[in-house]
Amino acid sequence: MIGEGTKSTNQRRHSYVQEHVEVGFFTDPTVCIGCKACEVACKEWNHVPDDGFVWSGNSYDNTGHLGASTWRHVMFVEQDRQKGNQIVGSHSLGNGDGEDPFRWIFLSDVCKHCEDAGCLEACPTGAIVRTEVGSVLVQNDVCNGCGYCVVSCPFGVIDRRPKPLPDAGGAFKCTFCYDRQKSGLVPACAKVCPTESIVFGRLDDLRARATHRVQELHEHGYDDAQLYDPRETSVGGIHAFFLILGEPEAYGLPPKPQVPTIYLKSAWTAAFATAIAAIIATLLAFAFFS
Amino acid sequence: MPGLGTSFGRGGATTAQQDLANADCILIEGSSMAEAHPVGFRWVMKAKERGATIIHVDPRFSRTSALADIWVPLRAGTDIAFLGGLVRHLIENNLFFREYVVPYTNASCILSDEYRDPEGNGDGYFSGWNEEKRAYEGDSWLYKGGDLSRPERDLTLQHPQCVFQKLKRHFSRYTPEMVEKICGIPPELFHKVADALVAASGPKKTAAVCYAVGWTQHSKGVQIIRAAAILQLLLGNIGRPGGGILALRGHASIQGSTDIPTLYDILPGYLTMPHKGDQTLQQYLDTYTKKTGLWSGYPKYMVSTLKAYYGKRATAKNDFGYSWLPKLTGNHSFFEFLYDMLDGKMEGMFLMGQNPAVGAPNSRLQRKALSKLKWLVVRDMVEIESANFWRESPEIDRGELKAEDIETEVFFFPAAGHAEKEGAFTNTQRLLQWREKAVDPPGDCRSEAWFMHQLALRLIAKAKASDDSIDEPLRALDWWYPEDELGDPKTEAVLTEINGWYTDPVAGVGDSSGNESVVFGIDREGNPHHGKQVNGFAELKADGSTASGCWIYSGVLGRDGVNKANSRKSKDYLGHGWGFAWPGDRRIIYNRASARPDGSPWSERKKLVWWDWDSDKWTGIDVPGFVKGKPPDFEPEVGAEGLDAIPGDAPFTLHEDGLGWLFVPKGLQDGPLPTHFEPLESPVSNELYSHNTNPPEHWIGTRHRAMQSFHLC
Amino acid sequence: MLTTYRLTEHHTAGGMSRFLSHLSELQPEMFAEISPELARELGVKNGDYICIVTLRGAIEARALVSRRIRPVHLNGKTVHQVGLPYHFGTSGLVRGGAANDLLSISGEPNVTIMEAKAAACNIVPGRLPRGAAFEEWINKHVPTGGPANLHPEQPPLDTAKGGENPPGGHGKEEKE
Repeated sequence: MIGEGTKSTNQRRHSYVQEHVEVGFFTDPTVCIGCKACEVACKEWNHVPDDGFVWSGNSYDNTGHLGASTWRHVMFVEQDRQKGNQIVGSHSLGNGDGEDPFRWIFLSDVCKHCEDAGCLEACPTGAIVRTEVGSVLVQNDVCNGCGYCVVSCPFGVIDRRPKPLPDAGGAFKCTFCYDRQKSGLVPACAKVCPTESIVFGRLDDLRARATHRVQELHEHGYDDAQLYDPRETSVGGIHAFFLILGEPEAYGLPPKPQVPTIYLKSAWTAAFATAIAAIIATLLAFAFFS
Repeated sequence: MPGLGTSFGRGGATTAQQDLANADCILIEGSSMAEAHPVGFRWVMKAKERGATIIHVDPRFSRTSALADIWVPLRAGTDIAFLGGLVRHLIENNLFFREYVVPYTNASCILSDEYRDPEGNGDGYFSGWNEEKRAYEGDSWLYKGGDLSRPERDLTLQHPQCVFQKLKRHFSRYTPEMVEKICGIPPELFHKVADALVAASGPKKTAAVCYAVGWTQHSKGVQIIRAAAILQLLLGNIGRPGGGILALRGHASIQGSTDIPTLYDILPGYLTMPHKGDQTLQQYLDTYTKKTGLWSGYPKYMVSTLKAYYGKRATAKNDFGYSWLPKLTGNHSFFEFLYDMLDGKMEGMFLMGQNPAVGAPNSRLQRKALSKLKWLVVRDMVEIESANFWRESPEIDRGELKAEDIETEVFFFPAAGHAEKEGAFTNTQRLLQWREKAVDPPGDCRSEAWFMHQLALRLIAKAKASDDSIDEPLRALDWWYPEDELGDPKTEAVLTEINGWYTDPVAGVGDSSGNESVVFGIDREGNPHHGKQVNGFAELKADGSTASGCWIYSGVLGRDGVNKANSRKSKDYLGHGWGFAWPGDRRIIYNRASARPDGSPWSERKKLVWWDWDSDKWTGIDVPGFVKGKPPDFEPEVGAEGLDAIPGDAPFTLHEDGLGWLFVPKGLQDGPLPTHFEPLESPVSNELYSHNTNPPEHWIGTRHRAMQSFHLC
Repeated sequence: MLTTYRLTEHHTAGGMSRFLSHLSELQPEMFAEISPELARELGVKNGDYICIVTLRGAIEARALVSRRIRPVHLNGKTVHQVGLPYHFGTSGLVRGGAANDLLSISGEPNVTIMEAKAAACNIVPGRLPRGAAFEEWINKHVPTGGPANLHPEQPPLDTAKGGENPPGGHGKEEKE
């Protein structure tokens, strides 16, 4: 709940790493004010460099997408739809000549820290590991920059840092502030979130809280509120899950994210079949010309 | 700000940001709070979570609107028409909180027969207009008989000359249809706002109003805030939990820089800067001391300020050094000295924490003015535009100015950042919060305190070497502050002086960490400098036995030796125990109004401060803003003075009559009631009055107005 | 009419934000918020450069076209509104026109504060000419009608006589 002060799980010290407790982020756009404090706190704490001063013209979003130098990204979604029972100008007035409805939604995106993580499976050097709290961590001193993880992430989160930025070549993404967590601190983004749109805590607690929040929103007219927490697909659940209004595609979230390795069997079968066909074709060709 | 000051008594937010969580409705207008005050906005979100209706009125659908329940787009600069429409709606439909309005506001006060409002001929002028001077004068806005302390009242609100009837008439043409014509707000949307505010009014409900510079920075900014004050008084929302008007300040410690001002026309604690005519201390005090209410203590606050400035050199014989204070000869505001720069009348300037080359209006003119200076000192963390205007600016780019022709010598001093210096911020809710220094500043970077302290030491040394009488005020200064190893003055020693002390020095001293009763009691020569601290401004005296650098901050570092601005253990929802809110650590001011006239809370849900019949005193969750033992049924004797003249059911104790002022009989330059005028540049004419813009708006001289036009300057 | 405002990502005149990379990258360029209706009238697309002109001067900005800002309809008359963040200047990591170049110095009668939240302006699509060509350009595009509400103390500038609305000079009426 907002305003619990030091009692909030976003502020109080913890020992989740020592106790091997599964943790998560629950992000709720219905209280997000789009201040981007999470983006700045993340970069400051983790020494992530700026990645260019380019104005996008896409609402107030000049960050664009998650990447090697962007581990938190606040989306600014403008839609001609109503948010809950919100009255925006004259759209909802009874006289019939009102405007179209309008809404502006802010959602802070982050690495999902999948239960079955594509990046981790693809990493040939063992640089990507799973931590005691269930998060997925890239050890940058072990990463050789091969980039296999980049194509294996179903969410397009992890990326190699381009030159001339510092530590260029290596793969980077959200660390879930593992260094802070080991010392009993909460991740920097959750710590600074002024309205507790990003909540850090035990994954089981967060799921209960999120379910309750969706119910509450439904009661208050937010008919299209739902959780984005894919557990039925091959990613096997995520540690950073979201409440969304409307469909996941509007936020660039795949409705059914899959780990690429599930296609391995069919891919190998197809490759094998192709090889056999090629051999047969070659033999036939020889037979034909001779 | 005079908008809040004239309406309620004090020029500060009436409430605390945490208290917004208790509101049943929050109206945000003239502010994009979520964007400019994101941390405080959490309490708005908390209120929303608890079921409050959040309304945002703004030309833009901002990040604040995105989180609001209702967004009302209005044409920029038409806020008075909208708020006036709400005031009319409450009065015409009898929806105001009568049980609050009748006893606690001046609705019932009878006005002078000379008072005339703009409805008479529809031109937009009140009585008292002097066309030649383009200013209001005289006292036709006063109560009948001219005495503000004992107004004649009609509690039925029927008397034709009473404030309520005048208010009703003044706003009678601000109909929902008129609001639509002026602001572009459809009547149906107007009614949604009105209904939400009315639903959140009464004994069990409250609504809060938040504004920022979106109201202040208008040609009638003070009157917009006044309109909100009238609305909140009619709804019965001042002095009560979840109510009030929250003035969201422009940046860190803006409230602090009016409390201890960087303004030319006030002294610390909102004492008036003496004018040329105020020759002696007695003349000055006679002019500004009020007979009744808290301002009756004016001599105590003033003499204590002079004792803080001049120490032992201030004595009863020399008017406590009053003659050393500079006296105002006119308008010396920032814009005036900008023109003095352009005219070559001003040779040099210190620029600290300000960047007028891009941050002040008509920046092109500002840059041109800077280029006319002989010398300019800029203190900042980076080389801002005001320091490099002579080599990169649009004017240089266009060839209007040439670097080689600009004779301004710029001295750039690198400044310390906020984590590199210690001191207190006073935030938007009058809350002093101490900040420790985390690291020493790098290289030659130094704090503002260091710069001012070192500059003062050098100037005083120069003055002491001179025998020119013009240097006497500098020689008289009591510059006693101990230093740390970087040469910074000990900032807590300055805070101790601000808090105030008894002036007789005593031996036995400590710093603010222990329980010593006299902290930082040794001057630069190693001699005892002052006595015990005072515990609050009630202890201040007019005989020179006390000193205080800013009377309203008194209590922040009292005899217990604890720097309360640095306290960090919050005990309740109002944040007592975290920082120190002036006055007297009160978080919601005028909180006598949170109880009914008989002293009992308006409701269990909205209780804050109440009269305890067992112990015969005011008690509650907040520090009571009232004489502790004055019973609710107290009736002052005829001729009583000071706080003794304030009845037991009058919560606004800074006003002579103890009432909230719907109508301001004294203290404003542009009318006792807010009136809709168009912005100075507007594409439409005034729908309500024949005069388009706020009549007394100063353009600061005809020539200067013309100079502002690009092709004429 | 233009109005000025702040962005969460910057601080006042920018001295404490335009020089910091982690804040500058979040709002890296001066923009002007205009409604789709005004954009259509001007023939401007989202992201195009536009110039904002007042009696005091002119700046250029990228057009951010959004329904977040709307024209108001008064008695059959349409007034367009333009939103300008005021944080930019000529120094720092990110640079842009200073909205304050457009505002007038005026004095509210009680506290001598300027009117920063409402002023009349022209919008001209395209970029601002650099160098000496600027002067000719601004003389062509400055709101010629002058403000409708000249203070009586002020002698008329150019054609304005005060009182009634002059023809053109504001927003769409005076556009190129």
